[in-house]
Amino acid sequence: MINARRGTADVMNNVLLATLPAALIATWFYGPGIALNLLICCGTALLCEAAISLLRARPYGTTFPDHSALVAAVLLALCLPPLLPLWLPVVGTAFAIVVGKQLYGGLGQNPFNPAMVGYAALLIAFPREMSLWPAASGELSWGISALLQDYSTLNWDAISGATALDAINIALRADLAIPSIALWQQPASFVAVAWLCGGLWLLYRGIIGWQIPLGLVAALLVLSTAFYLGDSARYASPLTHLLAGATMMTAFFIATDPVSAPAHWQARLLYGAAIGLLIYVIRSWGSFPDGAAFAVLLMNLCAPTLDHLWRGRRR
Amino acid sequence: MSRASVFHGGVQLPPNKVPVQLPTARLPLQFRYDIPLTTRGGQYSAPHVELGSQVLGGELIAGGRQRVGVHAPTSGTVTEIHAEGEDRRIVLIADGEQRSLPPRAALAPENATLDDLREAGLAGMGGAGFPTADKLNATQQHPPKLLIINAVECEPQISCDAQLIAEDCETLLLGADWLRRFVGATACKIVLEEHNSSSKKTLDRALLQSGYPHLSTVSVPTRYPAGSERQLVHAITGTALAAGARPLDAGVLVQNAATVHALGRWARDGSPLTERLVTVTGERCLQPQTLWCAIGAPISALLTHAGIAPGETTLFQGGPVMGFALPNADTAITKHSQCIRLEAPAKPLDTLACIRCGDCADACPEDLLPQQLHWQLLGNSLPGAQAERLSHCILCGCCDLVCPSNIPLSQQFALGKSDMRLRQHTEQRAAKAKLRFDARALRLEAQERERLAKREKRKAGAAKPDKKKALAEALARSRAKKAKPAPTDAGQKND
Amino acid sequence: MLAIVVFSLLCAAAGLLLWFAARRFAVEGNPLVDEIEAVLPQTQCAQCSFPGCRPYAEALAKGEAEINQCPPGGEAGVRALAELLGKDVIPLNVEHGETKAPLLALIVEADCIGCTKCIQACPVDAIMGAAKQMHTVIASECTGCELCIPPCPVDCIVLVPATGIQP
Repeated sequence: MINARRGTADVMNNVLLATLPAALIATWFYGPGIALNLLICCGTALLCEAAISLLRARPYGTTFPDHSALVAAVLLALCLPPLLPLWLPVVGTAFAIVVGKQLYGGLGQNPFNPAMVGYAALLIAFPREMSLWPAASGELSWGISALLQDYSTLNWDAISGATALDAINIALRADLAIPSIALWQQPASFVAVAWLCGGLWLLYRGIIGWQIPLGLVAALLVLSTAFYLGDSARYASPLTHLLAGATMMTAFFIATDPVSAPAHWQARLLYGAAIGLLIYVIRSWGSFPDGAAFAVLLMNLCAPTLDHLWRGRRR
Repeated sequence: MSRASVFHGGVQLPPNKVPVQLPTARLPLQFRYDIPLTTRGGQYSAPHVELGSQVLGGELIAGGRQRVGVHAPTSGTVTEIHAEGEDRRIVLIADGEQRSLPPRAALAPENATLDDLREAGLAGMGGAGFPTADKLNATQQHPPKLLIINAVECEPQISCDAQLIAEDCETLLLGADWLRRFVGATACKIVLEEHNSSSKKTLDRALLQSGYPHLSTVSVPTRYPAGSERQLVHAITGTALAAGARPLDAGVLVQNAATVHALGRWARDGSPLTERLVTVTGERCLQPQTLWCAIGAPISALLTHAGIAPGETTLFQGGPVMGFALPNADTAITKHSQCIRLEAPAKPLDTLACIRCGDCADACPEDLLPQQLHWQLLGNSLPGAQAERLSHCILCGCCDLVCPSNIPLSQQFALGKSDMRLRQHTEQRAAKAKLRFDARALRLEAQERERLAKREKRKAGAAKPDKKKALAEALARSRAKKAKPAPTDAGQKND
Repeated sequence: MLAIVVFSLLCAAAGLLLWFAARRFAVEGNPLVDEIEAVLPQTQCAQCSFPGCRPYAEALAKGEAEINQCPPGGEAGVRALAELLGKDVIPLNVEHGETKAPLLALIVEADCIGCTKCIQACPVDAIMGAAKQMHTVIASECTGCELCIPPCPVDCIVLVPATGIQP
């Protein structure tokens, strides 16, 4: 039997491998809470897949080998703050896998990116918990001691530090000049670089196409540069937009999910650009500090239309 | 002597070619030959012999108007004629004397007709089996500028053409130039795969020695499906064929090398197509080789000749991509059996759901989006699939080869295409029926109007004379009618 | 005050737009009948109790007929009609006949007396012949509607399965 294929599981394994740098760097900066989230999310995802397989009377072996649930779980876990109550990642992952993926028919049938479905659900239902990011210390011991404390008695004011996008969002809503942000002091920047590395590796391996990341980054860059040049006191710098928040992760890992993206390369370019545009719009004029998840979900909605518009076109 | 440009997509496959061995082996004389009368989907040749006929090798035993000639591979007696049903064939029992018809003098292309080619039994030997004369028919009105001789065996394992070139490239060149002159092409290119450099060397050397100024060789990249007609034309001329266009529309005629070789033989001494090179290979084949086999020889004899390794075996005809499993070895070699493969049974692969990764779109040589086609056909949407250009699919199977989820895409597309054809057929018939129904309704209406108008006129004419006279006339008319019934001329009414 | 003015203007603009669209994209006749007719198989067999596919389509458009009266269309036809008219898929009404494989009428020429009755019955003019001359069915035009069979006084018309697509 001849073939020239790479298995679906191989594709997913490659994606999992590519998330490794970001996972390590995030754990280094934000403490073992990140690793714990990862474990909880992965475990929940596998349990949910098994439960659904049981309910649908499908042998577990035919749904598991694709590893796609693990990818969704890992991507979701790496969006979550490290000191969440432990049941929140469970709820989020279950929502992502059951509602975001399996209720639509499982692998390949979901119109939305499951990880973003879970993230958006958590963000809307638990906005306070989801926005509490500790100021990073780079010390493991701190993270462990924080983890061991009772969540309710944790002195948040003492340990939390607003992320760059939070600070910008607060300033924008208060109609103030945005604070200047030293990107190299922000742990998020280092995590973003790690995502970029993983993404470039995926590109090199041919797992993802260049169109969506390029469209997304280019659109975000063009918009932020234009507004920054127009009024640098009100609008954050282009580099801030690229390195803060979930830009890099979205560009290379979330938006590139082929299941919920359009098929034609031109449509993909447009899809990526539209996500970039939405991210900028939500960040600059919306009420959420980072709009990546909503931007992706909104464009997921448009993917079938894009496919329809590009129907029958040559490459 | 140039390198061709590249078409989109395709798949790099390991060649795994059976090495060329000289001299070429020949399947020994068999006791029984089942000579097929089928050319291609529903076209059958009519037997020209009777039960018990004694025939010579090369004698025409079946044919007919617009039908491809079938010839006896050796001398012997006709013992069975199956001229009805699906599996039409003539059974010949060889007498072992191997007597043949005497050769005729060489025939110049100017003196040959399409019917001659048809009678010579020439049909596409590259796998399709399409009658060569039918293919050349369109060249009569539109002579192609370029003749392409397709010696690209892009499917792995098959090496009939390489063997043919190594053994007898003179006849191939003769056939190529003969065909070029026959169709009126100005140039002729023999196309080979890049990895097949030894064949190219042989051909180039023979071209230097012989005087064929219009012939040249070209290499195309070793990439499946480089040997597919549309892709080949793209690679050689540099422009992709429009959707649904045939190579001839671009002024190109593509002919398989084995067919051209058979044509060369026939042109030289009149020997018809009664044998071909067949590659026997596969994991379970002890001595993989390419050998001459008479058309009609049993496949089982070929297998015995090449040797079968022990263990469970699946038998295939054709290459590993386009080939299909044969239920048993009882069938015979046909004009388009390129390759017989003995393989170990393949482990069935688990099919997963499509993740729309797009690998298939990257591999598709026709620039389709197979993932979208798959999606439309899963939803039973033929119009949707047609909008995604289902009819452009050439069923090469590249998408199957690269799909990470092991989805049998081309199988689904083949089904979709046949559904599509059926649907178009019924739609055409419905449109025609509607047209005729509407026309008939209009005609009936017009007739009715005419009839009413006539009656009105008659009434108007009859209203003037006094009533008594009219009554008397009517009575007289009815009496006359009763006496001699007027013939109802329904036929006239219906004109 | 400003809000009222703005909204009034907006309403007026939207109204103008709608008026323009109605004028610009006006459709002649009843497009639904054509759409329904396109779904029907055009056998013209009248098994639906209407004298042809067009009359059935008109009745369907008016809501005077059920979608399950067309045996040649079969289940697929019912499904297509249900989708087009936004109705539920219902099983075919057997009173109107059962779905058969496509058929062709064939005149047994030895028995034909040339009465022309079948010619008058054929809804698509697919029978050729003249009075006292042998008739024949034009196979490529015959829809297999069976309407020519009852009028034949000598029962010389038989139905054969249509061979499907000619290559």
